[in-house]
Amino acid sequence: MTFYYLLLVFSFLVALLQCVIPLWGSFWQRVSWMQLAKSMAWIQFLLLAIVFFGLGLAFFNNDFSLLYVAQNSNSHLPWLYRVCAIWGGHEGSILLWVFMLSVWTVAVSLSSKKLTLPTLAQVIAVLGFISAGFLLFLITLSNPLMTTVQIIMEGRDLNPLLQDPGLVFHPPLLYMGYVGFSVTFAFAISALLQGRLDREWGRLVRPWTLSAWCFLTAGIISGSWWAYQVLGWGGWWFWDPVENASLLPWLTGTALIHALLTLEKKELLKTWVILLAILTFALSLLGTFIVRSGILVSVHAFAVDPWRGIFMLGLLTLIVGAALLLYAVRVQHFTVKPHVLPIFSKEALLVSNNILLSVAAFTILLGTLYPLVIEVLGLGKLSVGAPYFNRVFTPVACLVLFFVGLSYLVNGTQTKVMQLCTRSICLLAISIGTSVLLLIFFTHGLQWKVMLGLALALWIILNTLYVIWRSKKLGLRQILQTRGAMLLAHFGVAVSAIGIILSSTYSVQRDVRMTVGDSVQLGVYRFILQSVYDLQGPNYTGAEANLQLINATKTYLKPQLRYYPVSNIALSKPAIDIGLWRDLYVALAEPLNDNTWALRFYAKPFVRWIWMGAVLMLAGGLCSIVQIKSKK
Amino acid sequence: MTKQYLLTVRYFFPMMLLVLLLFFLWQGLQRDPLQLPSPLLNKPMPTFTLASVENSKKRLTANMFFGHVSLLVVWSSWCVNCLAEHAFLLNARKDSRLQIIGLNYRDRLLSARHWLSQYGNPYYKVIFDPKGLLGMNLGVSGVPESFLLDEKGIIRYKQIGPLNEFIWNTEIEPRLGG
Repeated sequence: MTFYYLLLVFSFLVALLQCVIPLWGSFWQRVSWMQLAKSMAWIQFLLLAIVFFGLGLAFFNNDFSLLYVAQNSNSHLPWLYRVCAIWGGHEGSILLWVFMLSVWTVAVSLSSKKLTLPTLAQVIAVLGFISAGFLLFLITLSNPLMTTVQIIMEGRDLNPLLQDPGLVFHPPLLYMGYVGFSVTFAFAISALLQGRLDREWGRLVRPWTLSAWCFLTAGIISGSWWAYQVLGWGGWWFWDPVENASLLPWLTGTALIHALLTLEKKELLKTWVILLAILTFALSLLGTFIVRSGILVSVHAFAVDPWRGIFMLGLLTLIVGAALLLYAVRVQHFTVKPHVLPIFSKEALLVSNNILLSVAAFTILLGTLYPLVIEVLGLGKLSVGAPYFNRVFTPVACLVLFFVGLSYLVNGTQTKVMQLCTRSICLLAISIGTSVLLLIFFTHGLQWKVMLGLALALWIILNTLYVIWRSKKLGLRQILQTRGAMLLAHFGVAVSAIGIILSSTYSVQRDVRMTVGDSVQLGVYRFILQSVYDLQGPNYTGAEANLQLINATKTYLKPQLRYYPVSNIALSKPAIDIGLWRDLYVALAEPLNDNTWALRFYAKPFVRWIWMGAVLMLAGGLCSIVQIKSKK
Repeated sequence: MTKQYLLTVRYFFPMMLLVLLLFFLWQGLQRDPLQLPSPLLNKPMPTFTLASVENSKKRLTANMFFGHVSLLVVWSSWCVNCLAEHAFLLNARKDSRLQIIGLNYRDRLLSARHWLSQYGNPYYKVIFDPKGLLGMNLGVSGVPESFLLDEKGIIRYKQIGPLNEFIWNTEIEPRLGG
């Protein structure tokens, strides 16, 4: 393992050179120095790949002489989880972070044909700087390759919550997203260093931002899905600090994508785009910091060495502080055209979108850090829960929905105001009417909040349909080629909104105690507890209940209660009957005596739509990348 | 001139916000958010009636905590860290100012007895809690954990994780008095 550690130290040195040499080269205009950037990036990637592979091998072979392996794995763990346990703990997830960074760096150097040499050199140098910071952290305070002299026969096991297929996808996707924004960040720094920002820059940066955004979206979807089906709490979003930490860069990243579009088309919002690029990456770093320093109470936080927190805070200060200082000094050098925005134009809408998303991000940041601020000021301990976030987030979200729908009606820079008003009033009236009818027909009631939300979602869908219908003259194909990605992503927003509104309003929950043979009624669904039997897994024991759903399909649901003896944790693994219109969700809570069990039932209408919509947004992002690539 | 100055200054706003944020994060790092005082602190020991590990027919109750300062140590035979504090406990048994009582948590009787005979028994008495019921009432989140009780059976201190010399000197010794 000393070999791998040496490689890690070596890659730190390479990262330092990768930062210094190309940067000097770009200042003194030495072409040969700048050209070194690419090879440095490759060397660093290869070194980190070997280290990463080596650690994976140690996990696979149950090499408990490595402290990190002993703390996060166990020989009874299935091999896939054993390998993925690389990122199950603190040290390994930082290693994953750096490895992802080197993947992105290599990706930049691979598609470098359109970049000028100084830009390429500066971008890779900035990425090298970030990488060097994290590698220094790895080789000093957070070494995943630490060996132990004690002979450890058996590992402490991976946290049972992490023993799920979610572990395989969620952290790498999320980190790819977080780290991906470093590329946009590096481009922003390069623009500041050169004091030049034009449409071409926007065109170059947008695919990078979109890719990072897509990964982050996929990461958030997988995380939310994982929480839904593992934690047994029946929710899909808990406004937990760590969840918020991933939502923050997502919101500003979404704003950034739209701002870049404006920059590309009209050469507007230059200083704002740069600031947003810096902030998005800063929030990604902050997310990593919050998760990995244990500063806030969260389901994700683990107790850690205080020095680690201090180091990471220092790194955050250095990277973001330097960037913002550079921003303050250099951003005035950009040439800004005086420009008046007409109120009813695409650009005005994009600006309003940016304002709304920034406000949303700011309120969430405020809520997340509020307990910390209160504690630091000595005003006591408190936690900010879902009610705050729901209350502040909902109005902003409603406005976002409204503007998304409106964006279809506004085409070009200037639209006839009268025409716009009549069209939007017509469509709004239709969507409100449909919403009222649907609610009265299906729920025999009318809650005005639900009605409003549903109407806004329908308003987006109607607008989408209207665009497609109107496009018959222009040719559907052309519309889909030019605006398909946007239509898809915005349609996804509507689908998610419907899922969120309906599932959070009309979910039914029941906690019951049942003996074998009992049946329970949940809304229109009826379950019978057929049997409960013992369960023997590879590294856990427990019980499994067999419930039958009394309906046409006679579905069986088998929720489990697992006990992991090595880490002394009991975990309820719910059973879910998946459906397009509703999910039925059963969790086995705890034995009350030999035959009686506490169970929790949920019926969640439309919950699947939340993820479906998010996947559509993701597809929209991917389409957009394809569009940009195919245009070239 | 002033207008120009103001225009320049506004670009420093993000920086100032960052400084503010960093101040709070820095201060926050000095605190441990998980360190909530245990709700049981300064409360009497929860009542229980459980068997003893040494003798399954003997019933133990909370009365055993009266009249003596006690150190209640939660342990299990399957817990690796319990072994780490074991040598320390065997040494601490010699201290006549307190009685050390074990709480065998979520364990099998035979493995618990075997473990004690193999590694030595530092405990005055060991409570057998196979289902973790008393542990749950005590708010035990993992093993090992220890509680210091005064002679009236009131919980005065809770330690999460293994005991050692340092914790003994800084937390336990000052609470023992004379």
